[in-house]
Amino acid sequence: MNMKYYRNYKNMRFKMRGINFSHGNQSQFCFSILLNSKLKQYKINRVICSLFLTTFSFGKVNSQSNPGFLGKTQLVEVNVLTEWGRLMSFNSTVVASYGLSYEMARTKNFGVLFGFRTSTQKRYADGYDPEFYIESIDEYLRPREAVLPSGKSMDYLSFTNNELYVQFKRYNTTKGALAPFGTYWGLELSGSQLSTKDDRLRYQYYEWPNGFIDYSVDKSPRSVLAFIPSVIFGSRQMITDDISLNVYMGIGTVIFHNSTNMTIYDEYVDSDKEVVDYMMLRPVAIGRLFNAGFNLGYFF
Amino acid sequence: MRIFVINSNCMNSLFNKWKKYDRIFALFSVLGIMNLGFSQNSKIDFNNYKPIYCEGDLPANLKSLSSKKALEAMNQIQNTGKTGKERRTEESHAVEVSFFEDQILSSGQVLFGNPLSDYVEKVGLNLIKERKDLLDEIQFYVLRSHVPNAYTTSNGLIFVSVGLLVRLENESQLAVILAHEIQHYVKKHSLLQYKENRKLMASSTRNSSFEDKLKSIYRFSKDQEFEADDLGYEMLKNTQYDLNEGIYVFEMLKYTDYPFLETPYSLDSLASENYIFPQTVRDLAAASMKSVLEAESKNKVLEEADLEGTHPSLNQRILILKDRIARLDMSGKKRFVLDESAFHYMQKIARHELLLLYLRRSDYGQSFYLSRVMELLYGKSLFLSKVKAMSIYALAEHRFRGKNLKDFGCSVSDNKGEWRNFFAEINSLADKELGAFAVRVIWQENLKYPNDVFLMDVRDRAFQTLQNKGRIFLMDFLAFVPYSKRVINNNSNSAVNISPVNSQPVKPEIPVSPKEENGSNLLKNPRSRSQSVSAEIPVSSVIKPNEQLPYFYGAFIDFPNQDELKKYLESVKIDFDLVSKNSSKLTPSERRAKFEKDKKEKYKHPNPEINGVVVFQPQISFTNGLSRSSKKKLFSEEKYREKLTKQWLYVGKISGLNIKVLTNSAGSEMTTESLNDYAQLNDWMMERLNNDTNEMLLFYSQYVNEPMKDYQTDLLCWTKIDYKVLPREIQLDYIIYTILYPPVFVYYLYWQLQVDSYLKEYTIVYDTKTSKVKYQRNKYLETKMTDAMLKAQIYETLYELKHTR
Repeated sequence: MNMKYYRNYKNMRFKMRGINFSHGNQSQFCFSILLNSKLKQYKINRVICSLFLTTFSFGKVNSQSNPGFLGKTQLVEVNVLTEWGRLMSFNSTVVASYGLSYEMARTKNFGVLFGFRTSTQKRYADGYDPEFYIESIDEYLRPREAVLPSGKSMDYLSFTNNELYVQFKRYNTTKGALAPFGTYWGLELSGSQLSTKDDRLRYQYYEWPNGFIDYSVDKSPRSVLAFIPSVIFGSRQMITDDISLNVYMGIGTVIFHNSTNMTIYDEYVDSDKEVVDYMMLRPVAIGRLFNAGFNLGYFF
Repeated sequence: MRIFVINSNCMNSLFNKWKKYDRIFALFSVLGIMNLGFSQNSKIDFNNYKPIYCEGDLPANLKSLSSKKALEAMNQIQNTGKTGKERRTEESHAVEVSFFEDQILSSGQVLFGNPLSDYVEKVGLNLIKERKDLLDEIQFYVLRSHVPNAYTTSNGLIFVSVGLLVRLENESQLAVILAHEIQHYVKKHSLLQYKENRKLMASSTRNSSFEDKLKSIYRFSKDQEFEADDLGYEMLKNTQYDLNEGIYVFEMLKYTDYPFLETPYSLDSLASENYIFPQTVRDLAAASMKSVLEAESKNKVLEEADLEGTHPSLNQRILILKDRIARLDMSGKKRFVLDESAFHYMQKIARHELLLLYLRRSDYGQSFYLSRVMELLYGKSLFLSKVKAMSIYALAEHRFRGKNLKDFGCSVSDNKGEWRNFFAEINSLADKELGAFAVRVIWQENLKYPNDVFLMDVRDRAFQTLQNKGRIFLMDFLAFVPYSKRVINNNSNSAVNISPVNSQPVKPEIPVSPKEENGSNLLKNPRSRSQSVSAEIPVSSVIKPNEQLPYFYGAFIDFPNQDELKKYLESVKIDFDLVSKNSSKLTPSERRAKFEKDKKEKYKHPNPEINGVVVFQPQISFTNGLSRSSKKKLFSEEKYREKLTKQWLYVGKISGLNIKVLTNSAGSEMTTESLNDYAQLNDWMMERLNNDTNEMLLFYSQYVNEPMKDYQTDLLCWTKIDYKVLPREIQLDYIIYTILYPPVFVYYLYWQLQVDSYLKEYTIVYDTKTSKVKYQRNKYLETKMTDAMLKAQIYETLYELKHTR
């Protein structure tokens, strides 16, 4: 799409309701995208690297003041993160991410965890259940007008979420915790890449002329980077001397992303990419409002 | 007979052992040993006496868990057909007694299988040889306690304390005591009193006050005592024992605040030509005695008026007994039915044990005095020299630390008799005076046994203490000018050669076996204190060329081998100038930096010197707010104790340390050897706890080297957990909130039904070689006591210990 079309977008001021995505025939669709990244990835990476280097150590366990659990202060875990926030605003979907992580603790009350997780999510069209959706939106988000797709079967956007995250945990030694065993609270910082291969957009608009417009979008993979911090509260208990079960709950959301000139709650978009980004970011942002993790770990 | 009110301290130190004999074996043992007699002198070395412990097989009672025995007892009660409150009371009693007896038997303070307990057992079995039923049920044990006491439990365990055995004069007196205790068991007085106490305390009569209820309890108990006395006399009537000795037993019990034998003993008896205590010492001692005597005369409580005690008046009991004897024919009765030498041998052992008990309790004043009594009684020995040296060293050490010596066996108000005068004098000595006196006594004892390692150690430490804390220059002892060589300043009016008049130390008179015609053993002839008539030598009138030294610097002048003394003092003296030069005070930031550096160094690698630790079986006190049942508490505590012991052993293996847990709870793992090890180390621990100076030499240190060497470690650990589970209090305001927000009610209900758990852990590790605290830990956790939590905490303890420098 040329710049003219882009300008038309602005003039038309499309509302982002009932927009469906699907895999279809891909055709060239070009438009300039303002790459005004809100997410300064390089700086985030620098922070992560420095934290990594300052906290990670290949030293022997005995040279630290933390006895850990029976001498073990490191562990690897298999993670499942479930996002429950979507129950508030979308259809009843609890999304699960799966991954691996590594945690180590040099002191009795402080541990650092590095992990990776991935998920494949579906973003259904808005307004599936308009009345509930409206009420939910009114209750938890700012009021919006509903745009109802009429007579159309709903489609969905399928996107993947790959995350690298780090958790800084403070273990509660007054409750007998010895990092990485016991109850803790902490901060999770997650760098997430949301991407989709879907290449067809359908815009629904109710301003004149009323109807849908289908467009094929650029084949280039569409992805957006997001920074998602969460506050977590959890407890790691031992099943055997080596195997642990870690359960935690978190509260977080997307606070930074590199999509252009748009907030994830803003229904006004200026480009196809923003549409796509919005469709990916918003469910993650809302889903992460209430999340819970279940990890099975092995101490060593 | 329960001669004294059993206070909590007594209860804690009661020890007994279940030893089950069949009737034939019991008779055989009594007859056999009567025939064999006692030739035990060759077995025990009284010159270098060591504490005696248990020998032989472990009592059957200790081989099974307390909970198992308690359940069996409960089943027996259920099988009797009793129901309701009576059954519940008896079950509670049976459970409590089962656990209590095992706790006492396994505490390490009960003696069985050794000459002391064997003798008591023989006398007891001799009494009940006609009663076949009692032979299987009653057991006799000796309790390592200084308190003169004897008592019986519901299951027929009869305890006689060492403190009682040392005061007896003959076998008949012991028989009177044992007969009384046997009757308590036969008549089930313990159970009856338990029931009555519960009934009385639980009764909700509004008119009766708490004091009235207590008086009812005491009256009930006194009735039991009279009954036990009466039936005991009935039992003894048919034996060869002389009932008249019962009168002397009651007389003896009046004087338990007195030493078992008295001798005049004062500081003046330890003086010499150039070491003379000034009049001020005597004046101060006399003043403290006067005030105590005045206070006593005001507060004197006649025994007849002892309406609030659990035991009847002794005078009343004497009168009853005399009346009884008047109606009996006591001809042909004997004081000794078994071998008399066996009694004296037993008593000799008991008296040596008593000294050790006083040392363990840090009653150094009493051990010092009694060592003198024992010297006169049994002759000098290395053991008595050690006791004397240790006692006076400890008194000086504690005095230099600012402690009140009345807490260390020198109480003038709590003791009576000759030793009180001595304590008053010791208390009146100033710090340096006492320090000098101590090193003098220790030096004297060391001269008798110059090669004994312990005496040398005491000597070295005493001199170090004198210098470091007393700030005394040792060479001044050699600079002291004998009085005979002193001259008066020409400026003074008198030109007399100031020699102390009558400066010879007064030799005290020591009756060996005091006895009076009226039957009282101890207060026969009042022991008069030696009165030294030495003239006072005002220091100001004695002029040395350069300085005036107080009198106590003459402590060593009269000893022979002054060259050896000089050589020794040269070797141990401290150059205070050099010390002050080398010591430098760090600034706060330097201290902080040093602390951080030490911390880093500490965790670099474990301390290679620490390779193991001996742990007393972990103690646990469990409070369950959800249940009031005392039975459940006892069962829970046993379960937790077993769990803790297993965790310590398991985690010890993982930690790489050689952990040895000294179990002292009844069960299949206990043996006589393990019980003895526990007892030996527990003795050391008790002495250490009573002498919390963190650097003082301990008397029991010479006895723990052997067991610790077997365990290949010097570290001894004591640990305890207080675990509380309490229900949450109802929060009314939370309920109100849930009314406003009903969905929250479910969460509130879940929260309210939770229990709060609190775990308090206390662990201390001592180095038995240096008696210092190696590691200490206090932890307070709000958590449930799960297996993983226990493992983590125990591992943390061992980890920190491993890295302790």
